[in-house]
Amino acid sequence: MQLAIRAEGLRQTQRRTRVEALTEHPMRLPLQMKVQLSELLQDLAAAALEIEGAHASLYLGDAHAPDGGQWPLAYLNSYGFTIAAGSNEIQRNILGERVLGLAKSK
Amino acid sequence: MAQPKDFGFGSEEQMVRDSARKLLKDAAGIETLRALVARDHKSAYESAVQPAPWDERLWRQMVELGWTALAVPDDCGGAGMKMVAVAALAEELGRAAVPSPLTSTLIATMVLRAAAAPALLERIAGGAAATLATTSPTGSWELGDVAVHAERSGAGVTLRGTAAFVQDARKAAFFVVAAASEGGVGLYAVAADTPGVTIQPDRIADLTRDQARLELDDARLDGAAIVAAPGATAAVIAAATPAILTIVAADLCGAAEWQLQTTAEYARVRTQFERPIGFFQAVKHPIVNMMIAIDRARSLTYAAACAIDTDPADAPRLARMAKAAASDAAAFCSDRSIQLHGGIGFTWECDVHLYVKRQKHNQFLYGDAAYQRARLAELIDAAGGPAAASERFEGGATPSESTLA
Repeated sequence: MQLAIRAEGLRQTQRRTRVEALTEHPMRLPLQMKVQLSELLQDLAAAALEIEGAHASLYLGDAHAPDGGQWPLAYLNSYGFTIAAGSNEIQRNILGERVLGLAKSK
Repeated sequence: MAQPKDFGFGSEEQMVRDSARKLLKDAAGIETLRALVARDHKSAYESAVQPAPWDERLWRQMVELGWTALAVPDDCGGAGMKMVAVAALAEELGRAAVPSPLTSTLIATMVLRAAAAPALLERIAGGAAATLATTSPTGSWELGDVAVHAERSGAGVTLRGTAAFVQDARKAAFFVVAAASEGGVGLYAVAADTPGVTIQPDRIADLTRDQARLELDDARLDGAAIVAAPGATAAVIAAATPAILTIVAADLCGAAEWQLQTTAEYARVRTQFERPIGFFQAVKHPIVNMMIAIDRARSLTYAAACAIDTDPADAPRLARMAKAAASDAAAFCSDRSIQLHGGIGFTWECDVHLYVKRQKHNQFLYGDAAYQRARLAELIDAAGGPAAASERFEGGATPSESTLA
């Protein structure tokens, strides 16, 4: 349920990004989208593996794999999103520095 | 039904928000709040009866600006504004942590609207503060659990018993009391000065509001006091619940934004190891995480408010999500706001404690995050969600049978 709330929250934040009166700083919401989406995908995939239990070991091409073994693939690939295009650590630096005016990391 | 992309938040709603922000900044800033409720620990927590100071002059200003009338329908002497405007106002009240019965009155307004009680709504539009007395001493948020009994006496009714966790009880002109009788639970308007009504103030950690038990000892009411007939209350409360949760979620978001801005400001100015502490990622990243948690909750809060205005069928789901996300954001922001202020964060002189206490109070009001998620699960269950998903598992192994135990 926490993941469902995060997914809906992300959808509504995307909607709010275009409503100037409901945003405090022009970069505040857009800069969050990549961090939020990539971490949601990762946590969703991890939860799917937990739900599958032993079935989570079954990978692409296995006849008995739930959803054709897509969930273990999604989980492994999710690190591509949390690292690519400026890792989420770098994204948090940018958010802290540009939006909240915290001291720069270099 | 399709919701407007902009949450229906137009110039009128923005005007309400901006005028609220301005008045509260000028008349209810943090120095004013500190002087009002937190001059010293002794008077705040050690008096025989805990004081519940509030600025009644500011309250009259709020009434004159039409804040109590905001959510009252046009035909009852109100402004009949959208829920997104009410949410924006509640958010500003949270941001200023202002001690006033306005939040309670807005919440009571939602119940009176759902019950179609025009005379009482007119009183609220005219500036009477109201609050719900619908919770029993067990602390359950479930409606069936009331410890007040109603007995018919002629055209009127006599109430006996106790309502607990009544918010802003000492500031209210009248209470909306839930009472059980043979026909089921009814709702009754009880003026604070009714003979047989005693307000027993609780001692609470939150210094920005008051809370009490309401003792009803044969309080006699006339027929006009009946807000909802016995048995009709469940439907009234169900109709008002999304709005109630949205108001509290907005209050939580506003206060969390104050916690974020105050903590970020401290991280900009406080130096350690020859740098402002916000330089260090162990400080910077949690502050960014506060912002992310707030924005999730805030987006859901306005989505819930907009659904109440334009898509009521989806309002219960979004409002439960908003209250859950806002409660979690408030817990995280409270925790980090103290910790990142370091030693000073643990002192009476540092204002963060005022907000931490208000947030803790709001977190549990009308159900904490875990409670909301449990209700959400029921909603989604009723809509057939997980059943549809489990069909996709092969070999007959459903999540509930095999791995979710």
